Amino acid sequence: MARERALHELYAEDPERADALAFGRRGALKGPALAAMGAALGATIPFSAKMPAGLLPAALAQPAGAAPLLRMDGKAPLLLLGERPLVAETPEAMLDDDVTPVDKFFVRNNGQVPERFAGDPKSWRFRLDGEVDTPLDLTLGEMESRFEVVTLRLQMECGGNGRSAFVPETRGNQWGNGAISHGEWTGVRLRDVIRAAGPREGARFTAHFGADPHLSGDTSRQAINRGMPVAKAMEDTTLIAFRLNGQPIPQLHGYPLRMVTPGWPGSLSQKWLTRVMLRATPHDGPGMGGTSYRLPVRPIVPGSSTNGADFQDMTSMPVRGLLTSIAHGTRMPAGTRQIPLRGQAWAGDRTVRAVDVSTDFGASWTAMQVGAPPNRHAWQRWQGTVALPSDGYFEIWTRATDSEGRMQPHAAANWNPQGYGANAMARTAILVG
Amino acid sequence: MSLLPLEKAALGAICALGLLVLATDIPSRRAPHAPAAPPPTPMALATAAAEARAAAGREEAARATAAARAEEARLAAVQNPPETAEALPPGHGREEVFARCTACHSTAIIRRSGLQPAAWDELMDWMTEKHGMPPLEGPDRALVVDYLARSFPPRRAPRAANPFLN
Repeated sequence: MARERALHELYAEDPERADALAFGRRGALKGPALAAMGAALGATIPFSAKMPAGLLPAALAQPAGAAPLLRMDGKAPLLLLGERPLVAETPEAMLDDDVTPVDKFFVRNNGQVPERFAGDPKSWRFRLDGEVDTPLDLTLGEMESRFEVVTLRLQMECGGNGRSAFVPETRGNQWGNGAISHGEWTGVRLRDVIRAAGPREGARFTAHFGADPHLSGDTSRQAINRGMPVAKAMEDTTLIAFRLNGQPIPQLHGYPLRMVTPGWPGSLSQKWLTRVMLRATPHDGPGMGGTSYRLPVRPIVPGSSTNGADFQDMTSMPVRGLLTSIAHGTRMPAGTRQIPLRGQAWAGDRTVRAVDVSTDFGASWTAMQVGAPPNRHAWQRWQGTVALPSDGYFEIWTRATDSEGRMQPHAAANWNPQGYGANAMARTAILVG
Repeated sequence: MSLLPLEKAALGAICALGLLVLATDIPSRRAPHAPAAPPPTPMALATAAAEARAAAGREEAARATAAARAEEARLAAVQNPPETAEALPPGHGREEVFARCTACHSTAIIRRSGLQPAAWDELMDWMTEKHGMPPLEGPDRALVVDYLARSFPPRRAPRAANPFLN
């Protein structure tokens, strides 16, 4: 362990020097340094010659402060990133189900989880107002009987998913790649409700409000509320949902009514939904403007200061693929040479065209088969097999490519102070023998 | 008032007869002789069914209420970890940081962060603007920012010092 810490410290203090010590001029790990890294990993590194400079092996690259596990009846042991607000990440290997079971849903709150609505859920009230001819004041029951009820498999992903890949690190929850879920949601289309209210010419943006109190409990302060262009609200996959995987939505996930705005930052899927307002101008609630859920249009120097005035609101989430059939840190029997792989991939508003896997730090790639999504904004199953040349330490890198040909990068791109939009390819460390 | 002997005898006979009837007419014997209950009317059936449904509904509601209470208790427990200032590393300003920051959030988000001093400083304004924190200025702000910057520096070093940053 002393060696491992030494290696960590070396990289943390001076990566260039660490590289100089650990890697030779041609980028190959040499002599005592290679032995040291191998000892730290407990294995040899067969593809050490192909490890990019400055790259700490994934097995050693622990996110800042290993997270404890969430221990709560009704939830799987997720990675507990914070108790108040309650935030928990789903380990990648727990995302192997085609439809994410409720207990494995990642958790993201900005405010407090409100007290559970004690009345008949069908009596929960929802209001649609603002730039409409006829404001609607509906109960959940009325909504369910008045509008077509649809069931769709929809991805929901935190805007900050992948944040821990940013260098230098940004503020915010240090998500790995597990702030993603894929539930079977039942509800009505927001579009149908908006049409029933008669949107005015000036209705260009939405604002969403929920019943969750501010984290301080101070009723004069608002918990997060956000909004989006009306075009996204009019998509046939944007729902006001009241069932998840065939059951009432759990309290933690927005009982009894929430929005599901698939493919865009999860903060647009307001929980405990009470109201949607149509506006002529972009919403100005907390979580809007500045550097919140916004990305640089002109890339900025990583680590620099900015007020985000010239940033743009995030829209579609970027492409991402995960290996879900093998957990990070899996040990395999000596002699294992063929490994079947399986995972999920998605690309916000787009689809995934290809998933490729590398076991040699990106020097060569093996194409996987990618299935079709069951409906728009669903994720896609991929699978295939990779071959290994020997025993030892390997990293399985997963790289998805979207329908417009954009691939996941090696490193988190377009650094921004709150760390949004990172989609560096996933790395799963395995040890054979 | 007094009774005639004949009346006394008659009364005694009636009582004895009554006792005999009580002693012999036990329910198990009576049952076969009891006239069959009239078949329940459709209305009675409907009422009984409705009552059964209502009872089942009440049971279901009670179960749901209990489940909801249990869920709320779990949520309350997980959202309110018993934290003290010792959750943070020792240092000048720890108590002030703990008191101010945990008015809203637990220490996890602090402990899992690592930022440059300037970024910690900016975070104070962001907390005020975006999360409604009372403005933090002057020596109090310096105390808080210095503690955070000292205790939680960046842990993910850039691959090389950025030539565009001081």
